[in-house]
Amino acid sequence: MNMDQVIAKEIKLLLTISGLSKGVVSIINSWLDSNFKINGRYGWAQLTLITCEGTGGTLETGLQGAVAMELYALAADILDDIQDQDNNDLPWRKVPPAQAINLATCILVLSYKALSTISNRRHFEDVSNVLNQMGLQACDGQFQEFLNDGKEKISLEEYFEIIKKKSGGLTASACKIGAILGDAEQTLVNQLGKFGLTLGLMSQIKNDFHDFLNIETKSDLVKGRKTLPFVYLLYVLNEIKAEELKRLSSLASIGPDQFGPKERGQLRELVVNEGTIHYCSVIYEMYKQRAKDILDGIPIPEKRKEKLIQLVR
Amino acid sequence: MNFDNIAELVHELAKSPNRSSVIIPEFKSFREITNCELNAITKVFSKEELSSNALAARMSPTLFWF
Repeated sequence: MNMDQVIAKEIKLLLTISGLSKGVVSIINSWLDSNFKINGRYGWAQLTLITCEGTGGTLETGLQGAVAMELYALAADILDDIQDQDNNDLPWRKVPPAQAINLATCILVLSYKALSTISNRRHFEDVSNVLNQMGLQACDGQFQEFLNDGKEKISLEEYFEIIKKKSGGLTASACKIGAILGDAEQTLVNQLGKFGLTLGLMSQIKNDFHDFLNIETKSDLVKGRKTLPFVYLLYVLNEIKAEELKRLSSLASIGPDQFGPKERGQLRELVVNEGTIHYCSVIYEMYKQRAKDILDGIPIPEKRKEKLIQLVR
Repeated sequence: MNFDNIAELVHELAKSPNRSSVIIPEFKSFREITNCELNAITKVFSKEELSSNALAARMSPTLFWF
């Protein structure tokens, strides 16, 4: 069995012994399937396992933590989408919010149930701490984001603080959990946590940039969400151009009638001419270099680092 | 990482891409910018003219879960 099949089997077993009704299990399975289309098959579990194996652990020792991470990330995605009223095409956005919240809670509990099967008590406690801290940080970051939605602008520093808590927190935790289950020393766990944090920041910068120009499916610009391109532009633009950006954002929020090809072109021009692409690219490059430096400084054999290196190649 | 300083320098360079040999030393003389930050900026600006598509290609997902 390959890694995917092992993870799938473990999740199936967890659902079977959960006592949940067939209907609920069926919906959770279909939601897991939809998530695969977005994030890749068991991406979070795989990141956890890659780190576990990198630190000398095995598929078996990392499996429960990997499944917990996968389920936790799915629950977080669902709750995030409901709170942000985002990604309307996903199945959890097509059912009443009360049902989606209920099932997200169920998935979150399943995540903890997966953890409870870790036999090594120290590992269990350490992984639980990481997961709890991640959840608290993500809630805190999300709440800051709500507050920022009402502000005209935020600083670049504030933007990065939030994405560290949200996207960075998830990837950092996946790596930390993998390292803990690989029985790594605390120093190594922390180093891999930093590596994971950096991966999450890179991912968020990329997503922010793509979503900013993807008016049809994403609501970031429409809602004036403080994504990196938006925060950067409001920081560097002079008053007239900043007003132009706000005007375009406001037209986009009215709908496609007001935000046609002409306005789209104006936005694209503003983005390109004012260095948005360059800025996102520079910050992305810097984090990529930082991730490589962290890996270089990690005292594990090169061969075991290979899969981690591939993540930032 | 000083995000503000990087933003200001990148903005200046984007507006005047042919003046990098003047802008960078001038910027360095009164603002703090590390070698690591400068390396990343130089790397990005030394590439061919960036379009949104070019950036999208360079920021391609490094793995399935991205």
